[in-house]
Amino acid sequence: MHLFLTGVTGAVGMEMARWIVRNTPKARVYALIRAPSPVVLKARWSKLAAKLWPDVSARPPEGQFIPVLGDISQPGLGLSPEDAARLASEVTHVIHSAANVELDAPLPEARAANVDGTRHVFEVVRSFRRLERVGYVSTLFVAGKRPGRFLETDAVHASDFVNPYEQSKYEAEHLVRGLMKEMPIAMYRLAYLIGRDDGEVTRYNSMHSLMRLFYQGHVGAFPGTPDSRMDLSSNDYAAAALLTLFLEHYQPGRTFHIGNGDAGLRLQDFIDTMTEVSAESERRWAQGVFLPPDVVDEDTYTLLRRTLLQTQNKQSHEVIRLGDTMYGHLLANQIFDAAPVHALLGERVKPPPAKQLLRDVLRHCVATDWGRNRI
Amino acid sequence: MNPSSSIRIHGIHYTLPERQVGLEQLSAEGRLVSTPETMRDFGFGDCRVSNVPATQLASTTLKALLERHGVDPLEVGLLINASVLPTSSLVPRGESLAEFPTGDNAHLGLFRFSSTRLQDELGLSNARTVGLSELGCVSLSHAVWLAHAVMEMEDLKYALCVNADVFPDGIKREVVYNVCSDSACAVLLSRDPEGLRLKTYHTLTRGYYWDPDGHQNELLAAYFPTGKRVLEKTFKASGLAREEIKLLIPHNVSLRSWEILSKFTGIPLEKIYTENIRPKGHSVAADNWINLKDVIDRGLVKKGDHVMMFSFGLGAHWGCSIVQI
Repeated sequence: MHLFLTGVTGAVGMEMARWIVRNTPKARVYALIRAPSPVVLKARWSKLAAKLWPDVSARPPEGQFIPVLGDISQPGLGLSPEDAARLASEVTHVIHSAANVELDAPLPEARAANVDGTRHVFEVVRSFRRLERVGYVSTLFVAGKRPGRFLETDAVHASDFVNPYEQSKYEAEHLVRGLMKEMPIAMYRLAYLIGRDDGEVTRYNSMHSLMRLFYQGHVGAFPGTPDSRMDLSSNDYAAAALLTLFLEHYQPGRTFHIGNGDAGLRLQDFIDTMTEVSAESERRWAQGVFLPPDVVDEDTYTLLRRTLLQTQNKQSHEVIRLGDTMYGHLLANQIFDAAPVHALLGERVKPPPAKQLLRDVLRHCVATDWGRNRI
Repeated sequence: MNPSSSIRIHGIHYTLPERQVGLEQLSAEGRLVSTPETMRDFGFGDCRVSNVPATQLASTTLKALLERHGVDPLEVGLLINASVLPTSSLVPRGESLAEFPTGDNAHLGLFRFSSTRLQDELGLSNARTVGLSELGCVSLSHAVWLAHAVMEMEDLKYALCVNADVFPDGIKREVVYNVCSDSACAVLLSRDPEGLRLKTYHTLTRGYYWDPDGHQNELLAAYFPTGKRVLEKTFKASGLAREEIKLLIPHNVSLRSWEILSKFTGIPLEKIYTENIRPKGHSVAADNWINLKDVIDRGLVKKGDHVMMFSFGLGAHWGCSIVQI
């Protein structure tokens, strides 16, 4: 397999690199990395490799990973003619996972990376003469505010979106679906990734910011019901499931849901777990000074939100801002159906228990002060 | 509370200054933090502004209460002055016996306590006096609870509690998104079985929020969940069901906050007496008791009804009681 991989510096991209080294030693990976020059590219790759494989003996052999200078925001990915020619003649497999995953990025910015960037990637991939299969990495949250059970076969909906990120990914899916007629593409929708199986956080995101504000006693309420689901998963599981499906269960034109399905974390379990783990290190939680946030209905939350926005309290505004990028899913009471993938992968690749993952991730966040300190 | 207690709330009297100042004027004078529109949206209207110091408001209010109920001042065994602002509980410069202490005795100005002056001024010569501060807006309710407890322990015929607060010139009248009025309210406790019965008083202090500026964000987050739990615990302690409460008597923080707390707790807004918020504003620690007197005077409750009184004081203290009319 000669794999062209975008997004190797992202949370799931890094985990895919690790998985490939462990499981497919004969694979050759062309990893697209942004850099202003070949010298910086080499330095970035060395730094990334040191992070991915702190144990030198675990690192991939020379030549298994080939960093390629490029940028998905550029037409032709900004590839040099030499790299473009090499990729066109050698690549057999493609996984496009590069994306702007900032939930609150302005829509034009999200579209530039996630729609235009995807278009640029596929324009280049179209020239690959030995192409066998392509994997496009998407998100379960393309469901937007669509309520209820969301199936792998669900593609188009008229519901609004909770944040610009998912709208841009929805639009990108539409683009990719159009390309499925001419290229062998499978789509992989991922859950909300919050860390590695052992709790390590490699990329901090909005969920970690919300967890920090929760820990500090800034969160008073969540909208939804106690049974509203939060489909949180680990980078390791997402990478392992995606690559196993891609290599062993490949079906062009199909969409796969990689998440917890019906075992998604209940909102009340999220609150209880956060409270329990916060009490391990913060005595205000242990002593009941900080109280678990209440779960309230949409009307109540809307009134509370409006009121807090009328105050001058910056942290309250930050809680609202983060909530605005996520809470719509709690109110939609969604379940992202993952039964087909669970059936395909069986016991071999299973999502980590969501409560345990949340526990370990929060412990890591607290121990590192949300990435500010090394353990 | 002791269910067989003979202590009763015998009378309530309050004084609200006649002078009313609108939100625009407060804003123009730099006495609001938020815009007048926000304060109006939160349910506030005019606020009451006193031309006399808090000590004078306390004195006239107590005197009127004693006269109204025909109580001989010498029969009062306890006076608790529960004025909140430090400037309210110290006798002001213009009312001192001598010129305000200067030079070597300047520090004595910090010891001119109004509770003892009230004792002398009103002839309450047999009353032990207590100054109760640092409880914010729950101070008068706390004072009544403490007076109740002291009367249980001691053979006292009457106890008086008073809260009087006047905001000094030049400082903001908006306190954590609430427009504050000046006021005084006094409560008389006795053993007259015809009085109101304090059946339960549940209180919760969370010292983490001691700094209302530094921890304001956390306080805003905690206010409703904590308030909800305090209400639930009060119901549990009283053995009463929600349906058995005729009215919830609030302190006059923003109407908006009551709308939210109503939704958090499931207590319908119609059961919360919010009519006084717009015309009277939030009068620090007095308004629960002002509202209680008003609902009785307006005939909104009758003998035997139960009312719930809820307040929150910066510090931070949540207090909730159930009173039987």
